[in-house]
Amino acid sequence: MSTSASLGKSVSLSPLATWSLYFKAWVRYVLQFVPGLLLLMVLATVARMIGRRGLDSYCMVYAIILGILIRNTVGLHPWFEVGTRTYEVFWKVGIVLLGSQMGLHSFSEVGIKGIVLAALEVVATISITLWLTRAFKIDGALRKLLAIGMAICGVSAIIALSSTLRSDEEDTSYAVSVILSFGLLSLAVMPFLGHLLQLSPLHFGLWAGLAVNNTAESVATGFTYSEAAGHYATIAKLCRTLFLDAALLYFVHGMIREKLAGEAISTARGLVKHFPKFALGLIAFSALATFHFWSKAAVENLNHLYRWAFLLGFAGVGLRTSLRRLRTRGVRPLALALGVQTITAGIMLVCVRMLF
Amino acid sequence: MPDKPGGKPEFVISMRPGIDWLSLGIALLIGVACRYVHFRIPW
Repeated sequence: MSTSASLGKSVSLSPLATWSLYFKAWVRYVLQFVPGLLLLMVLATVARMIGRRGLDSYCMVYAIILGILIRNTVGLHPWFEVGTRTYEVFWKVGIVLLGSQMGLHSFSEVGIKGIVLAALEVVATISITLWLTRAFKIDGALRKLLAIGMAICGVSAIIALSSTLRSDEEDTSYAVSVILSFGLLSLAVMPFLGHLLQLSPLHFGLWAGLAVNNTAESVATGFTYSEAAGHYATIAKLCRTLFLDAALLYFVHGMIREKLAGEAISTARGLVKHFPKFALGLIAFSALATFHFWSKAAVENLNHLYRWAFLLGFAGVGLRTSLRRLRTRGVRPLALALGVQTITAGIMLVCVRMLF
Repeated sequence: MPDKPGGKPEFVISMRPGIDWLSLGIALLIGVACRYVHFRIPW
């Protein structure tokens, strides 16, 4: 390897020196994740300790609340930024591991009706949001980001669409904050309503999976009600997530045709890139569990591991929820989000109770 | 990671699509480890 020195001379490095440079760069790269990861671990452990003293099923809620408290009070030091962004890996790992706790029969219980309901939810939410954004005079990329965020899988869908639309970072951050905050509102309100309406775990899980915007908060809402409800919420949420590609295609087809016709963009490749691969992992783990791939002790270990993964992931969701950012665009987008959330949650509750 | 010119964090553009594969890979490793290695995870 040779590099240009400041005086224009070429400097040759021995293979050992080259590998040493690579190693140092790699260590520096890994080290930047450490503070944030440690913070997630501390929050998860504290949430678990609080859960042990009170309601065990609320551990995940405690993790989110602790994250929100830190983010919106003392703030997050830049040291922790990179490591806490890994939160998504944790809850996705948790979802795949969750597959080991439920056999394929859980999927058959949700079945075709669940997929049809998810499709109905996606189409209804996108239509209602786009229609209401006109009434509320919200323009530009924000209306599309809110529509896809509320219809499919919250933050993942928003970031997938924002990188495809190349939208403004401010719009993306705002849309993410709205989705996370309304997910939090659902987490607080829906279990209470579920108990009030005496919903079965199947009904409540499907309702949470279909009505709560962000995947992490949707799963947490289900588990807050009961473990079985958490399983059904995860399946219903993944049914929605499967429509991400279709929704992305809907939003970007006009842009690809009009604005970027000259650029070499492979739609098929983009769709494969954004397809939720972890959903396949959940199904694979469920199939393995159905055929008794793991012993009873291993299934118990996987049960504990998915809970820890969720705690780490949800602590990260809390740390990413900036309530201050909600004030930047005034009250209109918030009123819109509340309206869409209420309407779709109402429609989904009626559909779930009629169909299941 | 450094930001790309244009103001978007690198994370959004380049790390994002790899997250699903990374999660799937980690989960598979854990699944295989739980099958063949005996250990106990506390809760």
